[in-house]
Amino acid sequence: MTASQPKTMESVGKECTELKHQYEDCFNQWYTERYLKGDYTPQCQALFDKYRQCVMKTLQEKNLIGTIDAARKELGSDFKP
Amino acid sequence: MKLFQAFHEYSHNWAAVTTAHWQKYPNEKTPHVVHVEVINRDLDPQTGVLRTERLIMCRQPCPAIVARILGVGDTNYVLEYSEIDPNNNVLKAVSTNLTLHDLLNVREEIVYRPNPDNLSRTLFDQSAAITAFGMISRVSSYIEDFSVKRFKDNAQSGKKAFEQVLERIVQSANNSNTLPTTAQAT
Repeated sequence: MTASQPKTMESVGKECTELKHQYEDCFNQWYTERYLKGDYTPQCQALFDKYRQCVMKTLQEKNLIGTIDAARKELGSDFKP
Repeated sequence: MKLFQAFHEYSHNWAAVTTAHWQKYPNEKTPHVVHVEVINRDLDPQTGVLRTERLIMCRQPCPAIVARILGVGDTNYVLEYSEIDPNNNVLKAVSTNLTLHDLLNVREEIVYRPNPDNLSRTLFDQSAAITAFGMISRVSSYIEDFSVKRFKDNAQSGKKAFEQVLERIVQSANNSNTLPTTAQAT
């Protein structure tokens, strides 16, 4: 890793950045140490719910919810808004 | 419509490569990618299939003529939907642009799977279909050509960024013994 490599990324909603990092740290650890070894027990749900709630609020303010929902059908995703 | 296709083989196993898929950003080699948010994710505890939606925000100025025709700012949103099947070791991701979706549509598909002849290596397939709508064909064609070129450039820098992250992950896994050593997850 070079010295100028940015270590963290801000969230689209500035106030969500800390929640984003907490969730991603949890997920990345779970992914390598559990999931890839065949343990499918979810582990970071509470952190994800908090982070997601914050991001969705920001996306709502940016009027992106409808646009996202229109595109997700094209991608074969059946997640709900 | 214009098509872009690329193929690559990574010299690391599927476990390492898919780990890098989640940790690729932020990356100094892709400064145009400013935000990546996981907006939906679920896991089927029976099959292990992990589905994820990510919203990616890029800042990338267009050449003046394209910006004038399309009337764009410099912020683009992309939605990515991915599925990981850990039993068959396949990661597939599809993405499309949200910004100017009805004028210029870029749909990208990528797949990571182990090389069946050598499970310590990973095959990467990438394809993108680029379509400009609602313009006289000469203009559409110009916009599509520009977009294909932009896509190729981004694919190049994206690959460099990805490789850098991959090396970092493999290094640190070797030090702490955290990654599975074969592509087989179960």
